[in-house]
Amino acid sequence: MRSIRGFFQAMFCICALAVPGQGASAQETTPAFALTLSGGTRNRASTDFRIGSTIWITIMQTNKTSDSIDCTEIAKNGINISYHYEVTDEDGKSAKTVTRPHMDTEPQDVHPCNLAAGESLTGEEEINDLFKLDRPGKYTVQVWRWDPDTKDSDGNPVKVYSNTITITITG
Amino acid sequence: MCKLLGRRRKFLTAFLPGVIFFSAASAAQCHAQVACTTPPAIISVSPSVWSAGQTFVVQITGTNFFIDPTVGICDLAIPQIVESTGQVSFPYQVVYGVNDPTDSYLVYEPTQINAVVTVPNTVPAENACVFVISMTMYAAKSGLPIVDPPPGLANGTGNPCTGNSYVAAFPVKIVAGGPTITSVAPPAWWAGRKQDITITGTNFLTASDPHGPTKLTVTGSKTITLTNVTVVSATEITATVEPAKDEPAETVTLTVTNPPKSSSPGSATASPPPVVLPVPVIQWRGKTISGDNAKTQKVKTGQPVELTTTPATLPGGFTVSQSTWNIDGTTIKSYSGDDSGITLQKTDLNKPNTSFYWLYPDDGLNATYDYCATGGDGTQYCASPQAKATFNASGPNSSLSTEDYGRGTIEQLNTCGTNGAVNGTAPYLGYGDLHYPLGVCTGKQDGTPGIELEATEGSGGTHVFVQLINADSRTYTYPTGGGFTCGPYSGLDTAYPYQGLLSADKAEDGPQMPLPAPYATGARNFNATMYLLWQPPQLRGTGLASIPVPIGYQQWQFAAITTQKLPIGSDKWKEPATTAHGDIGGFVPSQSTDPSYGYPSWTHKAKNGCTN
Repeated sequence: MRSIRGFFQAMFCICALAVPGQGASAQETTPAFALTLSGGTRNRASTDFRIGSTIWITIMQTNKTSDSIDCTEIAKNGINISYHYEVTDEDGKSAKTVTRPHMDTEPQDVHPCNLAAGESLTGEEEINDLFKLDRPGKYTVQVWRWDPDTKDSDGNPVKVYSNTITITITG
Repeated sequence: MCKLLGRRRKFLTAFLPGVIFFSAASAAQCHAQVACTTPPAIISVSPSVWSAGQTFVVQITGTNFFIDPTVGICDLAIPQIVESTGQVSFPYQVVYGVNDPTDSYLVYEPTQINAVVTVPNTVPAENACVFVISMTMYAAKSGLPIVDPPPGLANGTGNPCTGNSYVAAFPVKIVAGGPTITSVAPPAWWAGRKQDITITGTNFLTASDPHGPTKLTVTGSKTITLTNVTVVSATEITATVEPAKDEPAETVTLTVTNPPKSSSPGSATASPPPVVLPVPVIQWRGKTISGDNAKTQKVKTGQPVELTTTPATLPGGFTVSQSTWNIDGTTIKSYSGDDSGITLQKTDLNKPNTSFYWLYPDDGLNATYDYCATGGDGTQYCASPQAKATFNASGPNSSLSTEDYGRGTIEQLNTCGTNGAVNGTAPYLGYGDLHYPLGVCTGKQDGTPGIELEATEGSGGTHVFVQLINADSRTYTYPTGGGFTCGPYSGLDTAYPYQGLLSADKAEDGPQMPLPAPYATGARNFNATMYLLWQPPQLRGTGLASIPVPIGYQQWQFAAITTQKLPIGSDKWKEPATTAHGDIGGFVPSQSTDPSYGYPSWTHKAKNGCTN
């Protein structure tokens, strides 16, 4: 899918990484996509929510290559778990995750997806289905996703991080 | 004492008995001798010819008008002189002058009276006169106070005296006025239409008059055709007017004219002037698209159509008070969608400007517009000539074809460590044969899904897929008996739009459920509907985005049950007994009568976490 990538890796090209918030291995690599995170939905942007309301975030994956890339979605309880979510409170502690009965039986509906060169795909997630956000305060949110087509020097896929946002929950 | 000079003006004799008349010349002589008995005299009246229906400032010049003279019009039809209030309005101002300073009696007396005379149009042509009645006279003589001194008279001594009522008269001539216009009904005329009008006024000449009939003219910036002109009476004219179709919003000049030698010569122009209400015009993208030679416009369904109209303003105190659009076919004003649902808004049909999207392809779709105008008096004039624009709205003739890639299968999917590396596998009951390639733990899948849905036609736009889960449940049983069911659940499947895309025209799905070790059986029951929409390219020449339009939907299902091989915990599961899989009922095209015009509708994402 992306034959040019191996060429750059072989040449040990050190390139400036322009993706904000990206975590990278010792050898800098250029991810195949960027992630942009914002609060609310596409039609109702917001970073302010009341306790008990649905807390939406919007994630946009943008293909940065000249080839199509994978954008497979794995849906579990309505959340796209192809993304990994990190939510911390004002003290820097990770927010508690939601537990449900029989979580080991929750299906994963896999939706294979190809994202064309330069195109973006946007989805909205209800993060209060993942985290207990039932106390007022400010929370920092960031998501990341594996880039299956980009490997670090150890041969592991790289993580592509989004920007961070702060959401405010009021009583 | 002045001598009575006799009644100089015989025409006053018959109705002024007991009133002593003096000529102007004799009055001056009298005044020089005895002030107390000096009567008034009118030297001139200017102007002395008055036209009925007009207003004049009249100067009455004379002598001995004295204090608070009474001024009026003599009407030969009236037996006694009265101050004319009904016939002629006669407010007047008395101008005081100083009399002969050599006179031993210092008398301040008016010498000019300025009057504003308005002669009603109903007063016939006649000989009349102006009169002045002097009631009392005051003279100043040293030693005696002056009673009720006139304005401006220095307070001093005087010898008030009383006398008779003296009247002076001067002839004036009243001639008949020209025509007048009181009203034009209706005062607003539609361009491009014949309308009957009625003009009300006075002094119109009928056809039977030797100098008649009164001539009627109407002029505007374009042609206003005037027909069926009839002078019904001295107070009414009827006619039919037809302003040209392209007559703009304007006031027009309506004039009635009588010949100079007629009994009421002159002309009059209607005030306020009649107003032409123009034929409305529809414009799109800066061009006029309505009218006799208008071409059919082309647009794709889902592209924005923003129509504006004229007139925006009207003259003569008229305003556009009501706008009415009629749009053929199915339209909506706006569409917005995200994971929380969709919002549709209906087209606003009651504003001068409207915007909408056609949802279904068709030819010969009309957009018509008409308006009402309201005058300053609140009268509304409705059902204007209609403006019409015609569109051909094109769209794809798509549907969905399905490929069923098989029954349920037991799949071994990778389990992943925190570094993204594979650290094992776990069994899943799935529809199709999707699996992670060995060594891959990053979400990327390989294999074939259970169902593939493909749009059959492109047409230059983008197909949009939205999947709604109708019912999704899973059931597990324990080896020792009993178990639980999670669901059924419903709602938007994953994200809007559907992300199971292989290409712009395909969507696929392969539901999977885990088979943890403790359970004896696992069963899945899954029913979903895939909606196909189509979004056209952005309309060229505008910055306006297009919206997706509904094409139709395809329902499909997957149901299977599997049993773990003994011993329980072996993670070996038997090939599932698949009870149902594939499409249901075929592709169903959207119709305008469908709920939400055929758009999928949801309020939440489908969540399959167990709640019990």
